Amino acid sequence: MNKESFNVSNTSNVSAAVAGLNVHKSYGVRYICASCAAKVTLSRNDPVRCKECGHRVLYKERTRRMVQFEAR
Amino acid sequence: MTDHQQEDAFNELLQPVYKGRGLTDAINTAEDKWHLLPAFLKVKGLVKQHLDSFNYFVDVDLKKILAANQVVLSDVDPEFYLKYLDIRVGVPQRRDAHAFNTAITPHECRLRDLSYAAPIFVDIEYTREKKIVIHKSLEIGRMPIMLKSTNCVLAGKSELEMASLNECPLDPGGYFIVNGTEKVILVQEQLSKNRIIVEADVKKGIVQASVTSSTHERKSKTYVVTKNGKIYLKHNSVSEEIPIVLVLKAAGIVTDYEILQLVAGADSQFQDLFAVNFEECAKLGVHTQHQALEYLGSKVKTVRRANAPKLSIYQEGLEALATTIIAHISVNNLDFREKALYIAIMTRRVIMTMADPKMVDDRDYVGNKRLELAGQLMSLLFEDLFKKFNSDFKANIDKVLKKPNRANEFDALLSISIHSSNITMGLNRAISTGNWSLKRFKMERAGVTHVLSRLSYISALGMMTRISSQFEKSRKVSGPRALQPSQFGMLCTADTPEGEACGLVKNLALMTHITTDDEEDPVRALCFILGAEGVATIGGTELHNPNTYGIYVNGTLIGITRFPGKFVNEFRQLRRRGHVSAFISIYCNHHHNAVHIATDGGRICRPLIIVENAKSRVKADHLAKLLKGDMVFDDFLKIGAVEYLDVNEENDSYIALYEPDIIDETTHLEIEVFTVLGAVAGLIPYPHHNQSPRNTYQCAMGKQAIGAIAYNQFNRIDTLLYLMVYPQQPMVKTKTIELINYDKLPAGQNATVAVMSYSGYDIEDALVLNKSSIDRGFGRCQVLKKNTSVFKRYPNQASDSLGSVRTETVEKRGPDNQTVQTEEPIFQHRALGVDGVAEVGEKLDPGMVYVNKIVPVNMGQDLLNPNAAADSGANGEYKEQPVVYKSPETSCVDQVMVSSTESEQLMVKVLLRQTRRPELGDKFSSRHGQKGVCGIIVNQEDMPFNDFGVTPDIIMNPHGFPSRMTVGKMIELISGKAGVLDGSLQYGTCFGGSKFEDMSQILVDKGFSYSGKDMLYSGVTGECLQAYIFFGPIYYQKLKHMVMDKMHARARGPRAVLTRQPTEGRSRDGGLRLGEMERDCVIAYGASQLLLERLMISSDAFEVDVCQTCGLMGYNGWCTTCQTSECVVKMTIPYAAKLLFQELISMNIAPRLKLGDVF
Amino acid sequence: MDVEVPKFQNTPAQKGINGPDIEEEDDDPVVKEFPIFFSNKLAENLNLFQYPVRPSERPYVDAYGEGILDSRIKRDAGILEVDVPIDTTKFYDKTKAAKKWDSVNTQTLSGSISHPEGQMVGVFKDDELHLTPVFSTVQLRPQFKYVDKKSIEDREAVKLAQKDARSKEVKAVQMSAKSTGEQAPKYSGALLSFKQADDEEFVHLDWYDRDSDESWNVADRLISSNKESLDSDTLPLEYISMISCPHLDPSSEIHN
Repeated sequence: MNKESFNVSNTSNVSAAVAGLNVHKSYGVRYICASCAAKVTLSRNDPVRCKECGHRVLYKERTRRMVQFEAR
Repeated sequence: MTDHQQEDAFNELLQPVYKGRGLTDAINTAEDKWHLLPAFLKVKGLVKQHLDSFNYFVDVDLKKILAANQVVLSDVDPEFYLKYLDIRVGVPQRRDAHAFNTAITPHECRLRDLSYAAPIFVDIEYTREKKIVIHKSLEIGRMPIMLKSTNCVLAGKSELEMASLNECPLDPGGYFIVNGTEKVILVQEQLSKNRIIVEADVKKGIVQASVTSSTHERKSKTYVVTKNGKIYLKHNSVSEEIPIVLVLKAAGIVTDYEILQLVAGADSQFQDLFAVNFEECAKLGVHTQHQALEYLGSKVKTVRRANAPKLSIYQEGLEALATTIIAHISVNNLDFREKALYIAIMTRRVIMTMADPKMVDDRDYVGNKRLELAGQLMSLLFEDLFKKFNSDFKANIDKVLKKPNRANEFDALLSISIHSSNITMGLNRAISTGNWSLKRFKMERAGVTHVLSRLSYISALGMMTRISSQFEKSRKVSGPRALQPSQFGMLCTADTPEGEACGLVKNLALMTHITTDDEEDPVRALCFILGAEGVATIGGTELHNPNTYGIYVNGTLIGITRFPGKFVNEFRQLRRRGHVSAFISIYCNHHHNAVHIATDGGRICRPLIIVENAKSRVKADHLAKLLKGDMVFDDFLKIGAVEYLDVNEENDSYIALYEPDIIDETTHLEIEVFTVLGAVAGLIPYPHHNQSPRNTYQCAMGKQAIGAIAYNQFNRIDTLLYLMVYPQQPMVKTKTIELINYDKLPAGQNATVAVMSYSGYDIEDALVLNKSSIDRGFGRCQVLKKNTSVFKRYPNQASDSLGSVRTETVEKRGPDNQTVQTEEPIFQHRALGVDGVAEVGEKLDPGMVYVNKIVPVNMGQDLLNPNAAADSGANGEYKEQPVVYKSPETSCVDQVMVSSTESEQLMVKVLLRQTRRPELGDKFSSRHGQKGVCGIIVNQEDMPFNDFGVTPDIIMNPHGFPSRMTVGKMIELISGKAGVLDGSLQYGTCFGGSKFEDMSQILVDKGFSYSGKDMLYSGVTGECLQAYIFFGPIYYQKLKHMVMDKMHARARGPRAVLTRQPTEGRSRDGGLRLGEMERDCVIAYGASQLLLERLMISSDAFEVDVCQTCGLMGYNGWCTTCQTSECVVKMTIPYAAKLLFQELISMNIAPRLKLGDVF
Repeated sequence: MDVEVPKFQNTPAQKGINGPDIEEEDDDPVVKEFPIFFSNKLAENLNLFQYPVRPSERPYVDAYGEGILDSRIKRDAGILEVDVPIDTTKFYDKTKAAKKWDSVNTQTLSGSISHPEGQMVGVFKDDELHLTPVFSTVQLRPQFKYVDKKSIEDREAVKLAQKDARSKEVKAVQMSAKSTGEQAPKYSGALLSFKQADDEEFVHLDWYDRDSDESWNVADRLISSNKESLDSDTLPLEYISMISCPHLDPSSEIHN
């Protein structure tokens, strides 16, 4: 899938990224299988199964956006 | 099939260098016999009761139930029959057959909200078109499987294997997973069945003996009561009380002489008391057995089914006496003697109690109680469901066979499969709701199952050892709630909840076992071989001779013996040799001249070392072999060194606590004294130095402590999960802690505590916390909350779905100071990803959407245009129904799990995480019932410090010690300090543990005071404090009551619809109630206007128009009843009052208001 | 993992099984020794009759004037009945007996036969004890059959009178088809046993008095003529395992 790297510094990239959010709306989202840890890409209305082992529990991958935490 | 994971843990305990003792070190039996305890727990762990009972149900009871309901016949076609041959339960499997691997793990069931169930297979034999067909492995339903039982996937797996199945090896097991929730069937405590219990009511002068007979078919209670000194028999099936002599005559003992002999014996006092009853019988004109049976039959309330034969009165009486009265001794032939003897014994007990009121039975004695486990309850449930299944199937067959013309051949197989969901649904529903309603036994029990509480590891373990009593929580009787001396060693003496359920909910002690049923007939035969004389050849005189003892097996007299001591001894010898089951108990009751043998299940028993000739039978070489691994616990049973005693037999023995206490009469020796406490009370260090209520408080609070839950805690998605960020194992631990593995999943931290008054913010048990300690992670916890969204599918192909992210154009300042128009997601959708679900790792603020669910519009009833519903889904007319984050604090999205439910619907579970620092108002407690709330957080520089510069993490107020008397805490501090300086963990085991003198010596050796008091310098002024301060490490627990979850305020807010009063509850932004008692306080002050303000003006003031003539309410200045506007006055009354008047009016009662002037 | 099972001999633990060891206790010396013989001649036929209501000083024998008149048995149902005479001289209400019960002067004792195991009858002869196993025991109690008979008769009479009164009225007759066969009353348990007992006929038994010659002749067969010593085929350990009932752990059995 296209790498949506969220570079805050570059204005044009921001718009592209945001546009990417909308454009690729119907594209698949990456998931991780619970048993074999394989990366699975599913789009809407796909049956929820791991492509490799058929397991039915999938976890969503961690976001690539930046998250800032307070060191408190 | 050994328990690998238990072995790994226990083998550590049994290693030769445990406790610094090598293989070749001398074994001191006094100190080392405690090693029997881990060996015992290896064989019979804490949760073994549940597992054994369930295994017994699946392996043995299922087959018995099948055998009792084996054949299904048809009324219509006499040739048709269906016979069940065998029943088996498989391994838990997925519902759909076409999957890659059918075995399912419990963790997947928890995540996907499935039920962890295995199919039930039957082999059947039935007729089909004149042929007999045998069909094997037909599935008739799915049975939920208890985790870690023999049918479970986890049974016998090692730690590595369990980890690969995503399951924690330290998880106790013993619960079910139904629809994704973990449900426990608690152990139920009941009065023992089939035993005679005598009670007396001194005021009313009534003595009553009762028997609750319970067999597989029926359950009833038979009373032998006294009224005005005369004895009667009372039973549900007879309409009136029957004189006892009449019943005895009906049972075959016709002559008055014999009756007197049997009941009263040779004792003249008893004879005098009993003689009156003969008159009662003679008054009714009953002299022979036939007449007695007829009289009995005339008093019987018949409940006859439709096609059962109609009986004459005589036969009714016969049937009643033979089967219904005292049902557990049923008479199938002409010999009523056993039953007659039983009734005579009941009568004799009543006479004995009339003569000596002290001979009553104690209902609260633990020996008269039986514990019912999961297996028994499941077997009752399954029996009921199976019978229903059979009768449904039979009705179905009859319907089909009645039709005269059948085109295709009839196959019973298909009909069976239709009904298979009945059993599955019935089992699932019963376990998930906890309502056991069985028509068979007319049982309607609620609250049988509970959700396993996962607040901490100890709370889950404590729930598995919990025993709930059958008594209602009525306040009247204090007997059941009191601590019984017979509880020693069997039920934990400290662990019971406070408040309503105090004393009714108990917990098991550490080394206990609950027996299962044993066969009775071989024991009877053995009794006769040992010299018992049967009842067939004896009469009343022999029976009541003061030197003869009656022998009772499970409460029923089977014979007599003139040498009770020898009989009991020989029986015990056989049992110790292994020729008789170790769980059969035998004891003498000298008041009743009886020897009782008990083989029934549900008795609670514990192992003790046998002492013979003033020497323990467990020798040093046995223990050496145990440590080496050559012997297991069961071998000790086989060589007759250890035996199980239940409560009654314990009463008959002379037990020494320690080896030096053994005298000539001693019969047994305790294995370890600290097993008198249970698993939860075992957390407390030095509990024998504490005031006992403090131990009880700690037992309640230990279950609320925040800590580590399980090894797989990060893979679990629970509704609410509290985790501690940096848990530590306690510095002062106990042997129990090691045995239950609390040191691997601890729930607290070792805090350096100074016991002094400081800052004035520590009054009434408040604590002063060190800010820098908190900054470094002390007391930090994480709260994980789950949210589930299920996307339903509708019958017209439409389904719930995930919406997209909405954006808005926003003016933003670019890097070169220009305003740029950019598309940004709106505030609510900022956390969402492309798929409409929040991104993992994003922070959620209140108001943000994290699952953007859309629901098709116009689903359901639209009678006007039904076609509209059909179109809406397909057209894409959706309405947004997003899940919004509501809490005032920010959370992070920790995990998002996407899966499908059992019915192939999409399910999204979002796990939200908050990390919380300790703040003012968070509750902490030590392990001694000393709870307190954080009062103030002080900077480290202001804290007092000692010579090394160490500042305390917590400052505790010394006023908490004098009235509470928790000396154990003070010793824990000293032992902990010694351990820290020495580099070793110390022990605070009950009745043992590290000795105070040794600890003080260590402190002195390291340069500190023997008393644990230090010289501290004030942090504020820098001067020495003028007293020595008690300073050292204590294990503190953070409890789950945090102020963030409780703080609540409301100025004005939502109101309830019906009463227009403020709503209730923090979640609904509710108000606080000024209750009845608070109202009384305001009245006491005479503050009437305050009452008016609180109860009406600030709550639900409402203006009504009241008509002065008719007294009813009108509207807009008009009274409808009088049809006039005159005499209508405005008044302000509470809306609830107006509601009350209207409700009364609706019931045809006219509440007319009479108005007068105020002043 | 072999565990030593102590042998079945003279360790202190086993003393309990064998009872007090005769040589050890000096305060209970052996006074006399008798040889014991086992007789099988009457084995299948030795039945013990007990009379719970009768003290042993006044047995039912001709010598006391109350010898047993007659006896009957129902073998399948297991019922035994014995007739004894009633002493009409004392404790007997002649007028009432004549009015109500036809001056009955015999009493029937009845009992149900049971077969307990492990009981024997022993006879001493010339310092020898001869044992014979008991086949069955009966406890014979008075059954007041005449009272029952009279009360049943009275009830029948009342019913007949009622029926006569009712038959004078006119009643509508209702027709209904009744399917037979399955509806025949089916008893079970105690009711079945009683019904079967009622259906069976009594078999007459000849009774010989205790002191009669025939009795003494039969009694001779209690003495055993076989003086060989009996050797047990069963080893002590086998016997113990036959009488033992150890704990069965179903889960370990099935899944191991």
